[in-house]
Amino acid sequence: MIADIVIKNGKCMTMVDKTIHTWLAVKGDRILALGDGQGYETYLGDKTICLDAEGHTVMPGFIDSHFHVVQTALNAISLDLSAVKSHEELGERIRKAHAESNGAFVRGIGVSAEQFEEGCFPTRTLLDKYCDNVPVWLNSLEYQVSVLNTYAMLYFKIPFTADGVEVDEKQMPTGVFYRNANAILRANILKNISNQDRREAISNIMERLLSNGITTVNAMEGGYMYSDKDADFIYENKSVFPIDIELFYQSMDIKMIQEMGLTRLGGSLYIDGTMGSRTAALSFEYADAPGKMGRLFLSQQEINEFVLACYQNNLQLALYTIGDRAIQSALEAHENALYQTGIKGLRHRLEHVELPTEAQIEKAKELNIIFSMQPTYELYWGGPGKMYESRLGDYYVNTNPFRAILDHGVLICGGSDCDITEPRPFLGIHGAVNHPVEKHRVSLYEALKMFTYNGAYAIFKEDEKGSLVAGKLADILILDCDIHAVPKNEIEQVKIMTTIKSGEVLFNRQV
Amino acid sequence: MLNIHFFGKSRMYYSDEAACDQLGTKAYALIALLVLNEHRHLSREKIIGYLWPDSNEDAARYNLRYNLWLIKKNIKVDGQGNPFLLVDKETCAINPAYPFRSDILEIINFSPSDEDDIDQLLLLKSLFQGEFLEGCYFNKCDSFNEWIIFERINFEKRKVKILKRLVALYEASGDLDACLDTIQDIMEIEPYDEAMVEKTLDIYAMCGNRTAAITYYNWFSNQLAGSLGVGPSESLKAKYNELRTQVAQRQDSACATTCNGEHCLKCSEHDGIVRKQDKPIVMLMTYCLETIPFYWMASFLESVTQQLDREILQLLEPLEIVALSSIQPQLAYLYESMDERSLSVSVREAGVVSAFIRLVGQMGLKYRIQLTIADEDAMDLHSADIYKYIMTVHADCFI
Repeated sequence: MIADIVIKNGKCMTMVDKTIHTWLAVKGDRILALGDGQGYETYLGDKTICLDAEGHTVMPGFIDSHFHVVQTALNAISLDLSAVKSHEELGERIRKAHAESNGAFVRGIGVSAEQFEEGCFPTRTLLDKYCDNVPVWLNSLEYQVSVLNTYAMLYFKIPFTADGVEVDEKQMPTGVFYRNANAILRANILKNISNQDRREAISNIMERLLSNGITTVNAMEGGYMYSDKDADFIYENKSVFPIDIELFYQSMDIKMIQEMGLTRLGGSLYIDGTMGSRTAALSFEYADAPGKMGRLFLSQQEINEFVLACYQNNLQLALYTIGDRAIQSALEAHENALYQTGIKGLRHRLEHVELPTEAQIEKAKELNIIFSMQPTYELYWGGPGKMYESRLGDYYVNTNPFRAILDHGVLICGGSDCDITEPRPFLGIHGAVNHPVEKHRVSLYEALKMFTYNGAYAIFKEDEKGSLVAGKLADILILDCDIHAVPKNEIEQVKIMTTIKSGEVLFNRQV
Repeated sequence: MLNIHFFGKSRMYYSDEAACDQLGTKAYALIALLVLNEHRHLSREKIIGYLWPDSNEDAARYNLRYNLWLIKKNIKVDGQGNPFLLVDKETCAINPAYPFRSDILEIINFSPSDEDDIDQLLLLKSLFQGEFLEGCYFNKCDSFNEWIIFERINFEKRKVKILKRLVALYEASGDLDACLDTIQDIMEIEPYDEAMVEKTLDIYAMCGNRTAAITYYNWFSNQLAGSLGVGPSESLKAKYNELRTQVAQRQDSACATTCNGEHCLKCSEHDGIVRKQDKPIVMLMTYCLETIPFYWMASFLESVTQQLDREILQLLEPLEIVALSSIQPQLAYLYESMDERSLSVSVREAGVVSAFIRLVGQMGLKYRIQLTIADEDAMDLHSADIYKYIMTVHADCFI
């Protein structure tokens, strides 16, 4: 049979038993054959595209197992304000963005009160000084706070009577919104973003994903701090994008999930908060906030009931857990549900799992729970002098213990949590191989597997993708090097030369 | 008659005639300013300060003159020759003799009272057809933009108040479907208002539809978790658990009495329990005066004396009645049954508070209290503290 594409002179990592072949043939959207030597020649025809890998690594397309697609897309067209130091600098950035934006409203992201030398969020009247003729909407780092200018106060539907509207001494809104008011305001604004805008924004990030080798993402959409309209959009439109998008609807509404015909739910279904905001539930006090141990968002009874309902309805569940107390709570709920239903095989996941104890890892293995983790966190926050150490003190050496997790036989699928970290799997792979705490490091092969085979397994797609096997989808990457020859500390610099998705060459790096 | 609407897109029309919409947003803004300052003459300087603050004096005066002319041209004099506006060299005002209707006036003139009726409130509700001065933002007119925000806040509060009054009337009339629909309208404004969720659960329970109540609770819990990352309050959880227990008790009771203990699918239709919702409802209309200590409590007591017979008050100890009568003299009619010793004691604030709380508790044993508070924001501080307290300890006495 004549192939559509042949890749020769490669080191084709099948991700099955560490087998490597030198060539690979593709027909339609499937891998036709793999082999060594000159065997590929029988597949060559007049119209066959023959790609010479030049001795470089050829591997399966990456699966990013935790990705906020719509938010990433919308943020890509937003103003990143995380680096500004003062209200004046913020104002000037907004002024400049407005001047360049052709009259569109200005959406700023990544602000926090602490970043400003003034020590607080700007008020709407201050924002007005820099931009008073289009709406300005600033989002805090974790979307817990919104700030509007006066134009936006009159442009958007404002939840004036809700809890969380900050007011000044004259009882007038300052433009800063917290808690319920922020949630309602975000929902009001996000639901007014048209699907056409969503489609364009997502289309715009596709090349970036393909250039980083991502051929499948697990899209964590809807719910807390997001918008259900995002999830609904992905549900209805995922097939129009060139990469595969697997929806995880972040909702606890089991009936709705079933009516939509979905077989899974969750993603950022919060059991606790974040380490950064000291809301991740720990079993000990935060080192930089004595007396604080974070919090569980739901009671054990509520978690138990919800997890049980997922088992009873045969739904795969992905729960957001960061601190050890949250992980414990989730595992207890799973243990209870398994005990009550006896239902296995749903491949339930815990997302993030930054601080599991050894006993919890053992329990996860016993319950067949998958850990969906983000090794890039360690590059951002791990090691001496970084955020984990600030929050946890000496306990920071226990974060993201990949080695122990794998050694206990728990499967890890890797993700970026984009847009919290960059959508660059090789950054995550670098983070797993070069964990700041040596005992937690994993091998290159194990790290690659997190973003390929394991990612496929975690969405019941291991028979379709995640490895280079004849008959599977032709989601294939050609790298700019032989990955095994790259020093460990340079893994993050590895580039993708070619990305093939379902048999189509969708990215080809210009040399 | 002239009708002017400021909710949604500003517009005006004469009854039975097509809209006469020749006015721009600044003209509507000017009319809104004058309408909401009804009975007052606004100086030209003040109006210019609101609407043309960044223009030079001549330009600003011209703009004001032009807009006044535009309004005069579009709004005809009435049958008696009265113009819509009273304008002189210094000031402008709405002519009180000119007959017109406006959505904002109808809304701000509403104050909850015993005479409210459903049709009247539905009419008011229908006036909220968007935001006040929707789409209006005037660049460099900071004071005017502030004023719009201020008024939008006030109107939002008024809307909630109207809807809550409507809920009370629907409930009292027994139209529980409409009651639920109206609660849904409130929830669209305040989607995490647990008091409304509790009321919804009460109404479902009142209808005997506890399944719907439990489903609704679960939906709301999902919303809270999904949107705010929190669970329901302890109070709401308690309500939910009470409902669940009632279902279980009812099923147990029904099975034991009619099904000889055998499983029966019809058990859920039996109603073998006494519900607190079976108590009669007493509707109390109360008023506030911010500067008078205990005024709201006095108003509450007055309403009690009007709505209920003296039996409920006679459940109190003589000294408690004396204490309460120190803030509500109408209770003095109960003195006839008291001895002189009781009447001669001096009353302290703590005694008033204690007696009031006990009265509410006693009422809760016999009735479900449907409380309406007019102008709640103006509640005096003493009463506000007590109100907060009784809503915590005697929340189940209230609908």
